[in-house]
Amino acid sequence: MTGDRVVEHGADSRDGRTADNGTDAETSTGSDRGVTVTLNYILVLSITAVLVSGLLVAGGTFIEDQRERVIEDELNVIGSHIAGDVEQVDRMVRAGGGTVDRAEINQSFQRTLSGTTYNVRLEPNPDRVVLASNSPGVTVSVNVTVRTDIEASFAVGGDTSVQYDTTADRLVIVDA
Amino acid sequence: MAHLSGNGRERGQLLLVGVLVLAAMFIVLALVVNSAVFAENLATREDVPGSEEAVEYRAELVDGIGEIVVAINEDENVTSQSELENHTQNEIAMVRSRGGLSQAISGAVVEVSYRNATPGHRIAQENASRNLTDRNATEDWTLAEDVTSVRNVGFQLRDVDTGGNFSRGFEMTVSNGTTWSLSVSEEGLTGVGADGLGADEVAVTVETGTGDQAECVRDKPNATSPLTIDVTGGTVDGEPCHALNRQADTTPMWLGAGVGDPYDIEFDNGGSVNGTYSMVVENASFDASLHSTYNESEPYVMDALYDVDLSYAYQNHAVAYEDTLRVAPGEVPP
Repeated sequence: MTGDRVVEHGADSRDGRTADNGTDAETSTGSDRGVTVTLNYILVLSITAVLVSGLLVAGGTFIEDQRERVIEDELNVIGSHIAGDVEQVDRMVRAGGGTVDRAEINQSFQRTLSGTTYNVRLEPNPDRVVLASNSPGVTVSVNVTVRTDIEASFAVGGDTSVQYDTTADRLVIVDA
Repeated sequence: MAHLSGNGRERGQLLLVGVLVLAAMFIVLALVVNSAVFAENLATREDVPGSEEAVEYRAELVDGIGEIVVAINEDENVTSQSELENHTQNEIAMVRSRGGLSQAISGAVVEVSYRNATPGHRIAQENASRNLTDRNATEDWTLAEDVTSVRNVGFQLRDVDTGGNFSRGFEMTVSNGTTWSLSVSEEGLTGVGADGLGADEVAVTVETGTGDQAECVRDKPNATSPLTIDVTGGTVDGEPCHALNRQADTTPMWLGAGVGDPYDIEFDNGGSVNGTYSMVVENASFDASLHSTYNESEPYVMDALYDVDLSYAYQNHAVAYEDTLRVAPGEVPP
């Protein structure tokens, strides 16, 4: 439809010099119109492709950003729970005043956070719980306040156990 | 491209693919949002069940069995160490079965068992109308020598009459070279009068080994409202008395602070006050100032339990706690 209108419009407005064109248009209608249609299609397709791919790229980035933020939130929540466990075991040890034979708290969390695995480390000086996801790599650290010394230790995210090591007089984290 | 551009009807393929991918992205976004919701839910959950109860129940046991030890020590019919220990073991078994049942209902297994006890002696006078002299009416006398620890020291005084003389105040001293003393007098450090004590008040004064002095002022006791001094608990008439638990510069302080053991415990001017008292000592020697068996009208010393050790284990699906409890009610830090 568009092609037809252009040709007609050209024939009307350009008399002498466009006679050749008009003749060409009339004699080889298919090829001349085809060029315009192809160009038109290419333009439409490329603009559509650019728009759609832009949408996909922007959407993908948005989702990836959201995923990282959600993983960070989840690590924070789990880190706070584990920090609570560490401080509770510390209270148990302090309540015993050095006579505690065993103190441990086990807690289960999800093994994957938004599709990624993670691990939990207990670090001394400053005393803190450090959680790190694998892909994407997000690291979160939660401080703990304890009187008992902390042993640098490591557990895979999921089922963790905070324990009191009676021989070393330290708090450790291990896989439950 | 040939297919996409060849025919008007097939141009939608690119859009179709784009829409499908976009739909998949929305599904992923929904999963991510779901994870966020779960994280928020996790954040509102309480700590591991039982992690607090393990410590709480431990404290309850120490308090409860402390009361049992006090009651058994005060029972005049239980006189020998073996009787004291048997009674204590029976009571602990009762606590174990009853307390264990209530804990089992909440999903925890609690095991409490008697381990051993440290023998001691209880010195007391139960005749409230008698003064605080020894059995021979000597005013200045030694209750116990070479004491390594003392706990649960309490007085209940019905009458304080120091005759207008601060130096006549009743005094309890703990000494070993240095002296820690507690005195009760109608006259305080500030004297009597405009800025000092009223006529119906008494002062409880503590002087530490370093010469630091502090006093608490309370209403003068009578037969119906005695002056109750919990020396090791740091209260007078049930209210905290700063003189009993801290120095003037707010350093924490308690009975016998600054006095190395073994020490002697003495009463001076015992004739100035009337009332009852009780204390439990460890590793002490006594002379004839006290009756060596229960006596309802004069001061006596009897076998008692100084402390009791218990094994304690608390376990549920997530918490494991094992400890040795030491029960010594009314004990001050060493």
